[in-house]
Amino acid sequence: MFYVYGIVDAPRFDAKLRGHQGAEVMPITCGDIAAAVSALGHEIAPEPRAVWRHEQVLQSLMRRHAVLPLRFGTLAGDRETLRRVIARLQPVLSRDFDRLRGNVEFAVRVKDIGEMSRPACDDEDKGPFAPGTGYLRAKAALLRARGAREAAARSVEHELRRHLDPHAVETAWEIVQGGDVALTASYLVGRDDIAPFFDALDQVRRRHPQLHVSCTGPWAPYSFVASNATEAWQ
Amino acid sequence: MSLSLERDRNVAIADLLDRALNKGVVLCGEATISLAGVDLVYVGLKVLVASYETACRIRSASPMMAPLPDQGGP
Repeated sequence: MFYVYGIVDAPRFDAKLRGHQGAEVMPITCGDIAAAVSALGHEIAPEPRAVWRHEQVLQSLMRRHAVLPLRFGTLAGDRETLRRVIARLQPVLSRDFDRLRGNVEFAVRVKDIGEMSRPACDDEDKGPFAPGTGYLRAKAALLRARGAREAAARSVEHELRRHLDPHAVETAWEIVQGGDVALTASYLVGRDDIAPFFDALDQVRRRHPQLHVSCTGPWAPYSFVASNATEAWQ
Repeated sequence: MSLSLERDRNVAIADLLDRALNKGVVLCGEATISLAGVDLVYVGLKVLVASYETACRIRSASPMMAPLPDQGGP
């Protein structure tokens, strides 16, 4: 049984890497590309430590090669099975390599848009009301609050994108319902544009000190591979 | 590879789990996706379940796929 970390745009790689359970990471070649795998003696637990190991192997490979990260927890029974699966996905993998080569992913989170998302309060909402009326008014207030939060989140997204998008190859934004995180984003950034991207992020933080904008990375480009699309199998 | 602007390790773990468990290339076909032991992932439970559902959707779209192993979670 092999654990598969990612697909590398070279038939082999020289890096001496240790993966899960201390096993050596090795290539299984499929034409001009290779899967980075290690032998698995027993099942791995999906714990954060194991996920870090998965990412560390990818980061090491990314120092010398373009790498498409596989979803954590992918196993292959044997070499030939893995080669067949990769061969079937080869066209979409090639397109991913062309699109993602030289780029890395950053994760952005935005918290604390609280004041911006507070809806205007109407004096008529203060009651008391009959039980049914109270329920309907409370429901309406909840919908107004959600709408206000979403509008505020869109406004913050627009402002951040104005600064950050010029330094990105691709972006993916998502509004988060509930919780203290209001927005998450993935940014695909060229290695040469990392410094300008960070400068733009600092500029946003200086302009909007009330917002908590976190950024982690660089990560392997998990959010931008197309090879996880169902269409690849149709 | 140490250019992260974020010093909060918990945020970094959450960002990594969001990606590694729910995104990335999915090799289905005759390979197996292992998602056992869901209850061992602490902040990743929600995304791991989402990942499992995504894998099921992709599997159902392919005639050559074997059944997923028992999820083994709560």
